[in-house]
Amino acid sequence: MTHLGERITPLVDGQLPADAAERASMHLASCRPCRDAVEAERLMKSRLATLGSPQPGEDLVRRLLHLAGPDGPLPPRVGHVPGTPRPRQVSGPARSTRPVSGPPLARTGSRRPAVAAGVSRAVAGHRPGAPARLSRVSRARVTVAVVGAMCLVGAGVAGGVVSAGAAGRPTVVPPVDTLVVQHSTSTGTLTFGDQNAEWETGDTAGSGR
Amino acid sequence: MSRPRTLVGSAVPLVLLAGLVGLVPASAATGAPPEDDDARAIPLLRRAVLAASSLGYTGTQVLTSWRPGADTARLVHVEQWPDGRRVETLRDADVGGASSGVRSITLRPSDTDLSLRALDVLAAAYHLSVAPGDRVAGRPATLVTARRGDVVAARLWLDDASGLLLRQEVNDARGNVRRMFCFVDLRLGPPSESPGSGSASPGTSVSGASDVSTPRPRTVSGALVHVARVPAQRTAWRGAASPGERQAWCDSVGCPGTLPTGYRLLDARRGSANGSPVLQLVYGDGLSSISVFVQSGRLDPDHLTGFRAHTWDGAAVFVGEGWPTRLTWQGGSRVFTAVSDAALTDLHGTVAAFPHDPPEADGVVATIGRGMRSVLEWLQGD
Repeated sequence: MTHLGERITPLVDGQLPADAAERASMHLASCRPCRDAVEAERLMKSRLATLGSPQPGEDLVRRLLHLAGPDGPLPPRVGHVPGTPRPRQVSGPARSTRPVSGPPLARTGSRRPAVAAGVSRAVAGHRPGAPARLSRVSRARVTVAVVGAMCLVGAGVAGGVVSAGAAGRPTVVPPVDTLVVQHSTSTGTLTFGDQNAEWETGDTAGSGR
Repeated sequence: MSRPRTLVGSAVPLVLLAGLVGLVPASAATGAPPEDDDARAIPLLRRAVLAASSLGYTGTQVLTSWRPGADTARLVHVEQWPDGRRVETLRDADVGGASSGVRSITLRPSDTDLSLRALDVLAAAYHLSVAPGDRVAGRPATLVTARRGDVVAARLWLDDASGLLLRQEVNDARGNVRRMFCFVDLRLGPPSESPGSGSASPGTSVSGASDVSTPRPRTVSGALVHVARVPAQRTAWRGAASPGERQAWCDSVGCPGTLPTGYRLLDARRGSANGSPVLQLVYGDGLSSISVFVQSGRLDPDHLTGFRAHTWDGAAVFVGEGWPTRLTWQGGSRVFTAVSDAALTDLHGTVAAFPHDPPEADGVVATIGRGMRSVLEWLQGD
């Protein structure tokens, strides 16, 4: 049996048909590279599963994507397969097409597109044979992306708390009575006074001027 | 210790135009507007502005404000000296006529200038007509009516002998009286008591500043004294020296020179309150005035007393109790506080014209969103 290749992800996801899953299990028993690949996939999925809350909103995702590139959201990354035409963006400005910047995928020739937004697929880019190095690179990317996102969300939480507490800016409680007096004296308008203002007996109070 | 109240203060100036009573019959609020009579009305109003600060007189005024659920009436004894000093003693109708507060001010030339600028706005914004032959407080008077379209916006009765404004009614958009001022008695000539003697003497009043900032013990035996929570500290305010400086101060905080409701920037002053610098922008349309105070910082609504949170056209606004109307809101890095005798609809337009923040949503996602926005603003160097 050949290496599991693209069947690793559906295997980990439990989406392989029963007979295919059984054959894959038999293969794993005798193929260390494939076992490593499956283990790596499972490990990544379990880690991602722990990142569930809070869910970033659509606006947050858009801002994060903007942060990733100077010209706006990144387009899908498309690897170039030797011997085939270089991939082109189907639509959108040509300048937004980015070549894959990572190391060559393959001495095995089994390259395939890795979609930036699909973490699971990035991991699935690992192939037994040459994939040990590729897997580390992909994991590093994913790790950086996840840690970066977590840092930004964390900073957002902290920033939200900070902004709610008005740190960095002095808090202001307008001295309303003083401002009312200033208004009336500067405009000559009548100030009737607060409806709920205090009242005291004149025997002890200074109304004075 | 008690401090003097912010009480009365119906001085002259803007009030002259923004001034003062009586109900307008519904029939008077409509009908064919007469021809514009600015050429006769403006000199009369200008004379009234100058008379308010240069004549000596003693009188009693009734001041009334009608608002939904918050009508107010005040009876005020006024003593005015020809040098601009003025003492107002509140005889509050709510406490059986007892003397409930006193306040003195000294009108400055700049106050008169402000009123004259307001006159220009009045002439530009309203159609004015003149009708002699009326009487107020037993004195012959001339009626000046200000109309906007077919609706009477205000009516002003001017004393034929002295030029003083004897009575003023300011109406709402439908022509119903919103506030009123009226002399019920008036004696021309300097008050008999010299300023500095008697219970209501102005003492050493500072020009343009209410004595509420320099309290001096005074006993009103057996009376109720209305006390204010005004900090006992003198605040000095400096006005802009020129229209250019006035506009520059306004621009420096991103504020408009003209409001959508027709109010124009009439004055700008810098001062301080509680140790923090404050910029005051005074807008007027000739009948009402709006002071917008600008402070740097973030509004602390938890320590506002007597205010309720509202949302006005997407802006988070805290509306205070009492008269004149007071509002405060956050706009970017600044806190805006408006004090005004204008109609609420005009104040809605004011808030919309100034920087304003939307209400803050609660919850984790909203908190993260605010934080992300702050982080991004920080990264962008804002």
